[in-house]
Amino acid sequence: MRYWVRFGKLGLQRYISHRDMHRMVGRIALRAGLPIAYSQGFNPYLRISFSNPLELGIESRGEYLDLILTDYMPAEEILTRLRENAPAGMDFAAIREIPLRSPKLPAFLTGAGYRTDYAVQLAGILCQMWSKDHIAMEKKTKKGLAVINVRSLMHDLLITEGQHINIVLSSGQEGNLKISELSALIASQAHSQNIEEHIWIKTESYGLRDGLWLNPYQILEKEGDFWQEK
Amino acid sequence: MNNFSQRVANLLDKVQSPARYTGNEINVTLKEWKKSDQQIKFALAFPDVYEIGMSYPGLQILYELINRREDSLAARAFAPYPDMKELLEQEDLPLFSLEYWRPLQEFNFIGFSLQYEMSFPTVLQMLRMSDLPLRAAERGEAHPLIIAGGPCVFNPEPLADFLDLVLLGDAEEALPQLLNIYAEERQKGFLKQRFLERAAKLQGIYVPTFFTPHYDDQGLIKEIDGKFAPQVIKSIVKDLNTVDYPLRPLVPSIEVPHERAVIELFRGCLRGCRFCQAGYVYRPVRERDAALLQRHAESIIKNTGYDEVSLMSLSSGDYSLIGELLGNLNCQFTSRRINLSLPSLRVDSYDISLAEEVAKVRRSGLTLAPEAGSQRMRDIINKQVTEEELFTTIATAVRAGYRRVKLYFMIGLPFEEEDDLDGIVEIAQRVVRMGSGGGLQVNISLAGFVPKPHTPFQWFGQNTLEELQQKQQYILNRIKYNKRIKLSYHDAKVSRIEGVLARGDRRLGTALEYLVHKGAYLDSWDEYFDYNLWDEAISESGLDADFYAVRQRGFDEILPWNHLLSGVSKDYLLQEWYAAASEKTTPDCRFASCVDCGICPTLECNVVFSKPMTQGGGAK
Repeated sequence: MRYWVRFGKLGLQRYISHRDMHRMVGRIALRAGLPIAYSQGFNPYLRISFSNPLELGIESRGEYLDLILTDYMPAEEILTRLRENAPAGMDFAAIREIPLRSPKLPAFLTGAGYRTDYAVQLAGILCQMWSKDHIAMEKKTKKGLAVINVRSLMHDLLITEGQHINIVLSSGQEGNLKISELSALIASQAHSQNIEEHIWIKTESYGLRDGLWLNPYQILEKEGDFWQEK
Repeated sequence: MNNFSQRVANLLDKVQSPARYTGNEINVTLKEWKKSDQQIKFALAFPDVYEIGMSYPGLQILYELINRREDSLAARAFAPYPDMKELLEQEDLPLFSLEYWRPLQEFNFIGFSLQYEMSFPTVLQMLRMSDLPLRAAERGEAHPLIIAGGPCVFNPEPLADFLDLVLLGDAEEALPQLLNIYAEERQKGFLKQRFLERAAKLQGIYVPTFFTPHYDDQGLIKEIDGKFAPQVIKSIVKDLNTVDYPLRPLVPSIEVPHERAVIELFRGCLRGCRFCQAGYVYRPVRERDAALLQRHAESIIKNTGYDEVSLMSLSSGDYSLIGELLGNLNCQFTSRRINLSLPSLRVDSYDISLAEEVAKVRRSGLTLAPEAGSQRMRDIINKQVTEEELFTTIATAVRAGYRRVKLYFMIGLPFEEEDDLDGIVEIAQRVVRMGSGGGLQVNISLAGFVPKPHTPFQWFGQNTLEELQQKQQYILNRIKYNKRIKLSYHDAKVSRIEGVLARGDRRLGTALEYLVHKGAYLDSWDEYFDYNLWDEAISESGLDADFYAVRQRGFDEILPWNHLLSGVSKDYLLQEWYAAASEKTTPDCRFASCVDCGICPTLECNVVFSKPMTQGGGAK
C-alpha cells in the first residue's frame, strides 16, 4: 500500500537538513510500528521518499512524503501513529492512499508556494519584478557561475492587501529558485531603500497542470485513475 | 518567545548545522521551568560538540536519572562550534542549554563529563562563556555548583581548583543521594559550605576544597591534608540489575558518529591489562542479566526507531552468556532488519561465529587491539594474546569476507626495545600476506603511551616527545613502501600533553587558566590543538612538563591522586609493576583464583555474573 502524507516542518525543526529529516522520519515511522517496506538488494533501505528538499531555516506546512507499507493499515491510523511518535514541530497533517504505480513526488512537484505578511514596500518591489520579462541572477552551476533569467522561475504573485503576499517559485531539477535567493534579489532591487527582513514560510508543494499550480492531492484526484492503469 | 530566546534564534540562521543548538529531538524531556526553590535545575555540560557528546551513552543515563525525579530537570549543553562561539561573543550572549534555551548561570548544578584530558581547557571555556568565575573560591552562594564525573576524575587535580564537587565512580546511587541532600538543604535555607560538608560524607563525592596538598622544597607532594576525612573512595553500583537504564534515550536530529540502541552488558573489566585505567577503576565486573538486556534492547528499539543494537562494555566478548545473548538477539531482531554490533572485542575471545552472528550485509572492517608487537611486550602489559590467536582470528575473518583489518598498537610502553617495534612491523606484513590475492587492506594505528593514575604503570616516566616521534618514524620507514599497509598515528605532542595532565596536580590549574585566557578551545581536535601555547602556558606558570610526564616517580612518592581511591590497593599495583618488569602475566580472576587486588573486600562487593537464561523470565 502506498500513501502520500502531508506534513509540516515547523518551529525549530526548520533547522534540520533534508537528509537528517529523512532519517528522522524513518525513525518516527519505525517507532510508530508502521510496517514500512524495504527495498531489495544488498543494502535495503526504508521505502520512504520526499518531495524536493526544503531550504534550511524555512518553515513549511506543505511537505509531502511518500511511503510504502507491506501490510494494510487504515490511513487514519497511520496518521495518528505518526503524530503520536513525532517530536514537536514535525506536524503530520493529512494522508491519502495512492495507486502503487504513482509517479515519484519530486518528478512532478516543480513548484513551491511561499507566503509572508503583507508590507507595502515589499509588495511594491515584487510588483515591479513581476512586470519585467527578464531578471538576471548569477547562479552556481556544475560548470561554474552562470547568469540565468530568474523571472522565469517566479510565478503566481498574489497580494492580499493588509494580509499576505503569496508567490510560487520553481523547485527541483528543471529550475530552482530558493526563497533566500529571492530575498537577496529583492534586497538588491530595493536599491537605496532599506528593506526590512521578511520571514517567508512555505505553504505548499505544487505541480503544474494546464497552467494551474496544484498540490499533490489535487493532482491525485485529477490523474490518479490513469496511474492505476499504467 | 522571550528576548533571550529571540536573540538566540537570530543566530541560528548564521551558523552551520543550526540543529546542534535547537534540541527538540525524539525523546527530549521538557518540563515546566519552575521558580528556583521548587526545582533542582541540572545542566549536563559535555566539553565537546553536540555530535561527540550525543554519542556518549553515559549522557543518556544521567539525563534520565535526573529527569525521572519530580523535583529536578536536566538540560544539555555542548561546546558550541567555533562559528557559534564567535557569534555568541560578538552578540554578548552566554552559553545556553539546548532544552529551555536558558543561560547556564540559571542552573543550580552544571555537570561536566570528563572523558579525556584534552577536554580540560574546554571545560573552563564553557564556564567562561557562561559568565561564571572559573575558580571555585571565587564563586558565591548564587552561582551554580560545578561538578565533574567520568573516567578522568580519578585524577581531576589539574581542574580541582575550578570544581566544587567531583563524583568518582557510578552515578546511579551517588547522584540521587547528592540531589536529595541538596533539596533538604534548600528547605532549610541553602548555605553552600554546609551543603558541601554534607555532600562530602557521601561515598564517591570528592570536594576538592576540603583537601589541601602541601609541597616540599623539591616540588614533590609532602602530604594531602583532608579536612574531614583522609580519603575519598569511589561509588559503586554493586548489582546493575537493580538500577534503571535509559530506555527512552534521546535520538539526535543530526548525524552523529554513533546512532544506535546501546545496551550495557556489564561494567568493569578484570583482564588486568596494565596500561588500562578503566580496567582498574571500574572493578569488579558486574554483569546485567541476559534476559534483562534483551528486554532493554526491545524497549530501546521501540522507543527510538534505530536499526542497530550495540552491545556495550569494556570487553563484550567476555560477557559470560555472550553466545546465548547474541543468539537470542538475533532471533529477536534480524527479521526486523535490525543489526547487532559488538564493539570492543578482544582478540582471544573473538569467536568468528560471534562475528557472523553480528555482521550482516555491511562487512566493513575488523578492528583488533594487540597493543604490542612482541609476545614479550604483550606479557609486560599483561595483554594475553598470542600471535597464533591473533592470526587465527584474522584468517577466519578473512575467510568470512572481511576485507579490512585495523590493528591498534601503542609505542612508548615500559621496557620497550627496538625488537618490539620490529614486531609491530612484522605483524602488519604478515597480516597483509594473509589476504589471498592481495585483497586485504591493513590499517595500523599507533598511539603514544600515556601512563595513567591507578594503574601499575602510574610511576613510569613517559617517553619524551623526541622518543615517541623517533619510534613513529622508525615504524613508518619500515612500512611506507607497502601499499597495503596504512599507518596512522596520533601527534606525539598531544600524547605528551595528555601525559602532563593525566598525572598532573593542582598547580597545573594556573596553566589551564592561562590557556583559557589565550583562547584554547576544543584541544582534542587536531586543528585547534596548539602545542606552543601549551608549552608557553606551562612554563609561564613556573612549571615543567617533564616533571609530570617524563619523570619516573618514586614508589613511595605521594602522588596527586593519593587521596582518591579506586578500591584497588597500591600494593597490588606495585606488585603488578614488578611482574611487568619480570615479564610475568597475571590471570583474570574470573577464570582463575583471586589475585588479591583488594577491590572486593575494600568495597564489600563481588564479581556479578548474569543469571542463566532459563531463570528470570527466559528469553522473551
